Amino acid sequence: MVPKKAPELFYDESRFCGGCGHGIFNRILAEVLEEMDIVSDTIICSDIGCNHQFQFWMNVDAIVPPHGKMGAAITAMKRVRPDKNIMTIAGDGGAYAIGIGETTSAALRNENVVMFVMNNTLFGMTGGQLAPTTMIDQKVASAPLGRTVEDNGQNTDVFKLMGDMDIAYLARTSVTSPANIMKTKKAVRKAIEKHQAGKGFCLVEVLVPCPTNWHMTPAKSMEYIDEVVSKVYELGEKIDR
Amino acid sequence: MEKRIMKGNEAMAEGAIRGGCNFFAGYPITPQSEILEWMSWRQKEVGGVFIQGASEIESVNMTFAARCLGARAFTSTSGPGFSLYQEGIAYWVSAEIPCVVACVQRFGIGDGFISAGQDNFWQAVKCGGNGDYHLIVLAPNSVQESCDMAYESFELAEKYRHPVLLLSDGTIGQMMEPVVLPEMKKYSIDDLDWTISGCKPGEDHKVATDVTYFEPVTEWNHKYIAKMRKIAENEQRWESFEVEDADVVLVAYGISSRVAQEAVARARKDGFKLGLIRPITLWPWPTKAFDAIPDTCKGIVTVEVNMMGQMREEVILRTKGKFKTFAMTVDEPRIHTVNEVIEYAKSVYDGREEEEVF
Ligand SMILES: Cc1ncc(C[n+]2csc(CCOP(=O)(O)OP(=O)(O)O)c2C)c(N)n1
Ligand code: SF4
Repeated sequence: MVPKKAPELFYDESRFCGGCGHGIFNRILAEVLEEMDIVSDTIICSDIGCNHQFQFWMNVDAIVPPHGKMGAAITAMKRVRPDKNIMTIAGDGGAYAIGIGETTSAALRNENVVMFVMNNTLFGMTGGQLAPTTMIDQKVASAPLGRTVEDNGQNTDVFKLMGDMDIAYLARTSVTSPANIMKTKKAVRKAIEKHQAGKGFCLVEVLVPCPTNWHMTPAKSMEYIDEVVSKVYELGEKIDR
Repeated sequence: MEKRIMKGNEAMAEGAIRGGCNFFAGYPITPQSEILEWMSWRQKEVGGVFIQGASEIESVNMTFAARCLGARAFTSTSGPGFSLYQEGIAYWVSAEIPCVVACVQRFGIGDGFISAGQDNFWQAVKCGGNGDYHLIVLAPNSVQESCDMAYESFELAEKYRHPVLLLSDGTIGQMMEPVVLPEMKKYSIDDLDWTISGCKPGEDHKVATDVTYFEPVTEWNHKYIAKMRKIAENEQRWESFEVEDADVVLVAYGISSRVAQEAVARARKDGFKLGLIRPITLWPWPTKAFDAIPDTCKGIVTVEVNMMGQMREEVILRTKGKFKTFAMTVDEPRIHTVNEVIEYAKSVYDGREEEEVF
């Protein structure tokens, strides 16, 4: 098999840790943008978190609002430049903790925008603390004995949050195998196509590894997603309108 | 020239529109809501965008995003809403995104009172968010100035790529006066070269962010400090009345300066040598205006609608404590009367007031 050429919009090395899922997702998104030939018509809204490092190697225009405020920013971006593809790459901390109000507002208004949320079950950048997506019993830096409902409350599943909303697309994928990567790529493309057709709010959550804060090898992290994380967070398309 | 009778808030909204404003986001709060309501229909007429955000946090960040993509973006708020804006505004500064924000001040701590006040001075002028910055702060004292300052604010912000704050107050915002409306300026979202519009083939991408992520930090910081110095030197604005021979000098902005100006006129008629410095920019502070105060001056009095005399500290600092400095404050949300100001100034002249800094 001929190795696939790296997308041309990468101009530098990745700054993510080895085995980090953000890098895999960046590569998937870059391929879709190039295949659809929409790089010059795309503006990405960054979150603040490890996820924001896409801007250091992807040659695509971007803005960086405060941590979590992507739902508000992409709403305004689309209204100002309705001819552009407006999307965000967000952390699960940014999108579901500090930015839950902005994320939910944009979804409730059914804004015509795209959110890609990287679910690595914790806060990557600040050292692996509890995120809304941290699973019950999962040990993280700020719940060292594991998440409990008593101490930390229930975990957030975006399918439960948005499953009944009037939005265009809600899907969850992972990046643990070539087949899963292909599914992620298809979901990314589908979301952007719905966006271009003006269908409304699209959110694709991607289960990604954080080997560094999971204290696992990259290979073990992939197994952990297949065996544990994706059992808690169901893969598939929940809304497709 | 079009002449109308308008509220200060409406004139500010219309001034912004005529200055090229094509994006507004905001959240209702008294005494600012007329700006939001005006924008809700007026942006439609001029082909711009209006969004009522779900909160001030949404609104301030929508304003950032819209400005990044090229719109002349404006937002307005008051009281606790302005507190919620501070994180967002700090990001505007560090990313050099020249948004314009209005704060129509009310009175009180926390939710406070909806009536007019001037108690955002510390937050507005010193630096409400984290990091080293001051906003360019323009303080209108009439309906006409509310219009004119909003009209010029985008070009001023763009000149330095630094945000501008229009610091009004509930009285200026609510009162009605005649106003001459300026011509519509032409502005398109593609007019400026730094805006984010999609990376063309062969170009390097643009990212609107804390610039220090992309440039060497010290180099950026030096450029930034040079810019702040330049603004401090070049943009000081003020009005002075009878300062050169004054025995007592009043310092007042916004609605209080209207009262103070009348106090100067009446006191002078009675032979009491009162003067007034009205800062028009609160930052940069009009330091140059204070050079004209004679050494024989018995005291400076700030006239402010707040409880702790927020501006007094600024005067002490900027005059290096050269003159005795007092603040005329209120313990309820109301504007001082002309007589009260004259009486207080006389009491300062007679040496009957104690200096105080909290
Ligand atoms: C207002 C504010 N609070 C806190 C932070 C610190 N902070 C930076 S990134 C982050 C969370 C990162 O987690 P996540 O959003 O899941 O993204 P990841 O790093 O895992 O990609 C936090 C709390 C900040 N930058 N701003
Ligand atoms: S800390 Fe985790 S999320 Fe951050 S770059 Fe490393 S592996 Fe990725």
